[in-house]
Amino acid sequence: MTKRKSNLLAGLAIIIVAIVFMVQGFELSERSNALPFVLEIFLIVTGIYLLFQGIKTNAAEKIEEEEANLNWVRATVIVFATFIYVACVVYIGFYVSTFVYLILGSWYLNERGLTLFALTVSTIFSVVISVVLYLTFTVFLLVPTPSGFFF
Amino acid sequence: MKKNEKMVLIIGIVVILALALTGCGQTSMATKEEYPTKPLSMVIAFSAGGSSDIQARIMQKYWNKYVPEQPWVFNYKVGAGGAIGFAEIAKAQPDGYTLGGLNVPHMILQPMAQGAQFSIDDFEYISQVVTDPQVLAVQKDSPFKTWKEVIDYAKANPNKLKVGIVGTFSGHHMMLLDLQDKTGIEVTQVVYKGAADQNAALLGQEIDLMIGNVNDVMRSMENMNILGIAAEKRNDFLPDVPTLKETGLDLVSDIRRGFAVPKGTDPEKVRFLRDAFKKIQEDPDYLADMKKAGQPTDNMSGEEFDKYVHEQQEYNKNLLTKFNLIK
Amino acid sequence: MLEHILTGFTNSMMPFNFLLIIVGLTGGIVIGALPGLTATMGVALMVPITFAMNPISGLVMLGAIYSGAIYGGSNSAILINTPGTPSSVATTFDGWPMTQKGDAEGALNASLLASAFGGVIGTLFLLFLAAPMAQLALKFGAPEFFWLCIFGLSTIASMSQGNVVKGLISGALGMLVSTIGLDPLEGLPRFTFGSYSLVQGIEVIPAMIGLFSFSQVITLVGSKNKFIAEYKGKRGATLRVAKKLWKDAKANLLRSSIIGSFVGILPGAGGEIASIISYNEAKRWDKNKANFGKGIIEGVAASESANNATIGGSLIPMLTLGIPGSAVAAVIMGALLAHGIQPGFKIFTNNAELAYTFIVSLIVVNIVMVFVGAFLIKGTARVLNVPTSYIGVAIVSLSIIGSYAIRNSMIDVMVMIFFGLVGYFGGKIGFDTGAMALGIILGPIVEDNLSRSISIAGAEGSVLKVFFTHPIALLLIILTIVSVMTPMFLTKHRSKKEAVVNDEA
Repeated sequence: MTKRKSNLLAGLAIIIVAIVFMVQGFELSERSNALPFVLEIFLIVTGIYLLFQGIKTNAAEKIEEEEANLNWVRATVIVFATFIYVACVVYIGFYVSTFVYLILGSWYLNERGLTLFALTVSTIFSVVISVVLYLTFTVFLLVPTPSGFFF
Repeated sequence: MKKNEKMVLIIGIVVILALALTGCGQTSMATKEEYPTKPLSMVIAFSAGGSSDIQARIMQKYWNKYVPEQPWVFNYKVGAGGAIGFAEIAKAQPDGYTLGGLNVPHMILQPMAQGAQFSIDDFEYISQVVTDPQVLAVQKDSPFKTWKEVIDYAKANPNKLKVGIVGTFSGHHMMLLDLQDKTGIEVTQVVYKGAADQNAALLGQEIDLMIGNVNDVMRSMENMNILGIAAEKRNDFLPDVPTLKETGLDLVSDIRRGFAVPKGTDPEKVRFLRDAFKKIQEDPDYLADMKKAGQPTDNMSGEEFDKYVHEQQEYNKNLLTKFNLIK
Repeated sequence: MLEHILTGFTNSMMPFNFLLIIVGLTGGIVIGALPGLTATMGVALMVPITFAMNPISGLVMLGAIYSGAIYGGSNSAILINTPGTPSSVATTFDGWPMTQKGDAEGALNASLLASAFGGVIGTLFLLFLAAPMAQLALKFGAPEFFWLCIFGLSTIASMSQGNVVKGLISGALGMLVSTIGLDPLEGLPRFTFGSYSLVQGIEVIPAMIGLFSFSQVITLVGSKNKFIAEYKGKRGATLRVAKKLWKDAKANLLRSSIIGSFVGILPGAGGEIASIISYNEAKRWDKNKANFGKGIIEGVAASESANNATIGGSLIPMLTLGIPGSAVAAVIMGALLAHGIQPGFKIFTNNAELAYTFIVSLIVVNIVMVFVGAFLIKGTARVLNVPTSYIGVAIVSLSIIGSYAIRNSMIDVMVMIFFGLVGYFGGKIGFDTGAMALGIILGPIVEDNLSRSISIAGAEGSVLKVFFTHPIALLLIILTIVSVMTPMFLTKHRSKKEAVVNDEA
């Protein structure tokens, strides 16, 4: 990403957030909206500043950080898998969903490829982690976990 | 083969029993249903280790004594000054296996002013267990020696008196409104997040007067003067403090704790719980434990508590309407 | 008093109590290291168990859990860039870069030794200066709190050198988000976007887990690196770090511990503020300011010594006035009361043995912690030997359970995921997750004390008088100005220097 693009995006993003909050704040009393309003104004002003910075900077100038390293597909798959995971936690409970998520997630990510051996490793890993989590949270600390249809 | 037959037989019996039981749920046969047959979920709307939790933990000790069959499993649902937990109780399955602690007037004010997702009619009240009256307190070196002097000062200097309360739409807030209503004074209201920072502010003389609960001020008697207690009678924890009533101000204000199950719970189960809570609260060891923990016990039956909550609803509604805080 | 101290020491060394110290520390460290499980929760969980013991043993164990949990938070901050408790946010600033550079062991040991040091200093304050410190806590009103938070926020300016604007924006965004929920003044819902679930507000910890941890996982699983960071267990790391701290960070440790002890006495401010301020101060007084944030031991030491020093501080107003200086102190006070012991100055005469044993045991706890901690480090650091493909998904599970555990609410899990995405994409366009976390932590305290100060100013008839004339407030204002000006001055200075270098080249 270029510095220009990052500034333009950042400026735009915070202006939108500030305006959304501002609209929400219309019905609030003056006292209740005081600090949020100051923050919104600050964000809009700095947002505009960033937009100008973005237009001014050279379009070719790169941000220092290199990101060619990032594998977008893997990251996206895991993020969506996590969405499904969270949804499952509500319906079928934490431990069952965790067990499945850990197997599939680590199997998909592991570098040996989707082999049967890797699946075995992932299953063992998942069993160990699930049991450790169960022992720490539910048995030892008595912290409730989201429970669903199964425990 | 034999094993399988046995299995079928057992499953068959279980199914028939289950059908019979669910069928009986609606009929007068309900008395035959055993209760409780599994652990009860106790919803606490405040964080673990807090005053409400400590009270419930003491109660649990005696529940295990009188109902040894099934324990309580604590479930903390914290947030929005208790409203999240209260709503959790209201919305639970009315099967008698979810009960929880309620705090008055919190649970009355939250639906009224903050859009909370329950109403006071969503509960079957089991029992009231604690009444913690509010007091008027000043710092030790304060020039005010009686509440009358405070009122006189506030009348002579409108909006100069700084009064510390904990939370808005709380018991403290209601007492302050009532005080303003009955004496006609105008004060500056300073809102704190918790009793700890409020007490520190009084001792550091950031505020002139504070409204606090007996449970919060009883440990600071060396540093504070308690000008009066807003109760019908003097409190065991502060025997030397006169009530506001006996010194000529008709003001009674407190926070109360009780327990409830969701509306629609089988009346038999409600009766069972009410009986159990009554037995617990008559146990002298329970009373001694509560006293040690600084919890002012005040037993009231479920029916009376129900009535009280509804009376308070009217009282608070009038007060808030008078000060234009609700429409 | 000396005889009480000796009794206290003998009591803490009794086999049963000593065992409780070890068990409490281990449990506390584990709880603290797990994101989402806080010191408060750990201590509250154990209170019922202490009812079965005599009050002295019970208190000794609670003190050990408290100390262990506050230290434990640094482990996850260092190893997976996720502060285990809010007190360890500032530990990530240097701890995580150290791990990335392959010196996780150095960071973990620095945090351990600094925590123990801070813990001892805080306890010494509690032991010898309880009465004057308690009086000082009472002098600290709403305007002072307000300026203290502004001072904490000014850290953002020096933290995000080179990109101050985006740092400030991140902080402001964090504060804005923190206003969601019930407004502190009028008690009415704000910015709930029509959803009642948001009335309970954005809880700090899930937001923090998301910002740090979930966003980190996205980067981890997407990266081609096989491990989080290189890690080779070396012998004698504790000693090496101890020498380095003694040589380079004596003043830093002492300063941070004193800051921690003072912030600890204030009800409503704790390790999360103390560690940030100490980090910032350590940076200001250091000769090589530019190295902060790139992975140096001094940064870890400042933050961790400060947050453990708050423990002793937070117990001062609790024991002397019955006003707890932190949520954990409140829970410990509950345990005292349940044993029928009334806090207050009289506790030092009426229950002298109990009070002094508790205090002295905290010193023992901190010394024992060095050994227990050093032992545990050997195990926890092995996390780095697990390939990212496994550790990444395990962190997700841990983040979910941790976010949920705060108040048993799925909303918090969704908040965690949401902030994970905000942290990840925000990071891409130059926003600073650390600054945003600061905003979320400090926002509510700022607003609360600002509105309270304004109420008081209304009664006194002068805003100026309330905000600008109290001596402590004035001191904080000056410090803030210095703190904001230093990096500006530095940048100018450096760019001049760089210009010279460029000319020469």
